[in-house]
Amino acid sequence: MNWRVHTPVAAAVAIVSGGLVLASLLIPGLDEARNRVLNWAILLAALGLLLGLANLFRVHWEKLRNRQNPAYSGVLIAAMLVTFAVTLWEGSRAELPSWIFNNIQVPIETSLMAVLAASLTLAAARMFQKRSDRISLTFGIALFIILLGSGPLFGMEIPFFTRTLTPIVSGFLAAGALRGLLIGVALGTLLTGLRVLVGADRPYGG
Amino acid sequence: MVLDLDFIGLLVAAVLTLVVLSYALGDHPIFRFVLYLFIGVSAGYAAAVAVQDVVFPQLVYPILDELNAAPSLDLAELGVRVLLVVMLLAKLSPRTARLGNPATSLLAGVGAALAVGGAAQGTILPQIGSAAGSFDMASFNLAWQGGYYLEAIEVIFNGIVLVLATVSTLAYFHFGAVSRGKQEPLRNLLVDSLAWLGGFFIAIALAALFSGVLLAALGALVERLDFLQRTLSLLLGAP
Repeated sequence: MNWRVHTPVAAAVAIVSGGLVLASLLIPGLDEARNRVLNWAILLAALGLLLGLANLFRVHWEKLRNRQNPAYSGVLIAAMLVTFAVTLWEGSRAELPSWIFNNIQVPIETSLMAVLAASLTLAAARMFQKRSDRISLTFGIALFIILLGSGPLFGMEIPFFTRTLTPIVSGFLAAGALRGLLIGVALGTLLTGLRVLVGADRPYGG
Repeated sequence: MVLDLDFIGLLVAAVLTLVVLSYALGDHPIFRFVLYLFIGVSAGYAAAVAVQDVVFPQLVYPILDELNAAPSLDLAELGVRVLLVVMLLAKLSPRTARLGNPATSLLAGVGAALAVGGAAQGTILPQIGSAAGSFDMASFNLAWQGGYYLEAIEVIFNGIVLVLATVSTLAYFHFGAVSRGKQEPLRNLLVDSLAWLGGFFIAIALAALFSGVLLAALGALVERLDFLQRTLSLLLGAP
């Protein structure tokens, strides 16, 4: 079998399906066809997620069998199977899945976010230690102004910062730059998407 | 004190919180154990929701309906879905992986189209509109006609700074340069100057983002410490 036959087929599928979805944003009356294609994409995305999770399971199963940190892989596999079975059997809003979500997942997530406060402070301190150019100096001064003006410090408010300086820095100077960053990111996204839609980039392996 | 599911949940949540917060003192095996637990629970939950909310209603139930002679989808639609799923499953083996390319290309095509539409309609057009509206001409006219010239100049100045911040930030990421034979390529002087200025604005924007994340993290830390204090009070029987 000539495998190269599949290359133009894959590119054609990407161009036609993407073109249809894009056209439906501009041309009325294509809603039904677009929804059909979107449903296929949603189904494929869900299956892709399941394949990825199956691969995670396989990798840790191999580690468990080869006794490479078996305790870690064991707890991952056990947690994965129990949560999957309980949530699938009872439904995601039932009592037991909610218990797992509220008492295991949420506390760990929130605590990781809390640990981020220490990590970020350390990272900022290290940056000021290692770099002392105009960008890091501007960053440091702006950060100092914004943090000092974000709220009362030990119960005391510094009006010059909270009412004057911080709104200028965070709401005015930063707003223009953030708009520039957003436009830049969107232009990059637009270009990358268009390259896929015209078949110049083929991330699907064609 | 009754050992019910809620109370056990409270204890589990408190222990997990303590273990994760102890990472601030350094990495240790119990923290890693909790991380693997977290990954397992998240993966299992995501898999179950994907199966329950997408795979069952979009694939399994229609196939069962078809087999029970009570079709809920037309046969061609069901056929396409089954074909796409089979193609994607072909990706599991390196030998048949190429057969799955059309399925992944559909995903890439639809994703690219949504990204293009979202970037154009959701970001570029509104942001360019906002940048163009930086000069608040209504306020300027009102101030000028009322004789408040300083306020009128302030409106224009604010607009200039906002537009300058946007343009110089974009210029910072412009790396086009003119070739000069054997010498190093040179960037346009105007773009170079704007990019230099853009560095300051980007640093300020990143400081604003950084402070936002830091304050959110501090909020989470305060909430966790409060939770631990309330749990401890409950355990000690304090009012």
